[in-house]
Amino acid sequence: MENQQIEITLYRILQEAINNIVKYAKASKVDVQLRNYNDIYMLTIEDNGIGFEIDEMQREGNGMGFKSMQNRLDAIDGFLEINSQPGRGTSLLVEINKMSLQ
Amino acid sequence: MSRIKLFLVDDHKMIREGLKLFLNDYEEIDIVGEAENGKECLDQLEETYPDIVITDLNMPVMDGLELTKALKLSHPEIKVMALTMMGESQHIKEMLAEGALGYLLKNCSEEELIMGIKNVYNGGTYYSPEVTNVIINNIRKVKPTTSKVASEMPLTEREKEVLHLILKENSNKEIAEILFISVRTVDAHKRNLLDKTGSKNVAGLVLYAIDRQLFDDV
Repeated sequence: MENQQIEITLYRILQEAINNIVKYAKASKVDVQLRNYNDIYMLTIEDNGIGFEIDEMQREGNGMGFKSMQNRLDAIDGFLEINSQPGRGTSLLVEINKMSLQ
Repeated sequence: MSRIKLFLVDDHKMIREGLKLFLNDYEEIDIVGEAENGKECLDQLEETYPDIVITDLNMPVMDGLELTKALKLSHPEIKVMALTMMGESQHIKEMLAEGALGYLLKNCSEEELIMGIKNVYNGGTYYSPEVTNVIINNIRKVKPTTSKVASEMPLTEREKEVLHLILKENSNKEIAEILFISVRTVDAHKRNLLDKTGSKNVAGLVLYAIDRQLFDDV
């Protein structure tokens, strides 16, 4: 990857996500994909674990890991979306625009 | 019922002997002749008058395809069935184009062979299931999607779910609602689906899913 900051950001996000999955998700399967498109890098991390209620997690003041992901991405104008529902697993979508960094 | 007069053409004696051995158990079938190649078969037709010629494809002197062509000209009433190890679409297409009414692979069961012979004799056709698949794929003109993709990447569970909902004619918004994800995530999955399957649009995805038989209900 040409840009080291992107590389480190993606690495940390993946690390954090895997950490969460191992600690909380009780998943039996995780799909991790990093795709290199012309315009963006797209990282998706999907697990089939227990999932969670996003609002509830935020109310309880948890989700520091997600917050740090968001901060890292903000620094390089990246996009983060976390989708989860109790019982429906969790999926993370990260998109980093290549053009905005040139 | 009159007996079905069969003529066997195969360059391997073992194959002919094996076929005769078990076809002899069937009263309704009468093996009237055999030959090692197409030419030998043609030479014996006037004495044997078979209803059906069962022929191998790859043979010296005159192969199965040439024999089928020759029979179509000289004896169009004689039915031709191919019995071969070759299941490639080119061979199947050529044989069918020349009027072969049956195409069986040599790994077929005895029951299948008998059924095929009876079908063809009674004015029908018979093709092994593998052969039917090849024919259908040809009609559909769906070239294996793999050719467009350097190395095929498996779809994730989520991607399969999204694909399934696309095939069910759901909009991005509907898919988002059904899966409790955002439209943007649906877009991302869709983009990955198009990229992974080498499709240019939703039509390509549909063909991919049908071709791989990904879903029972589509």
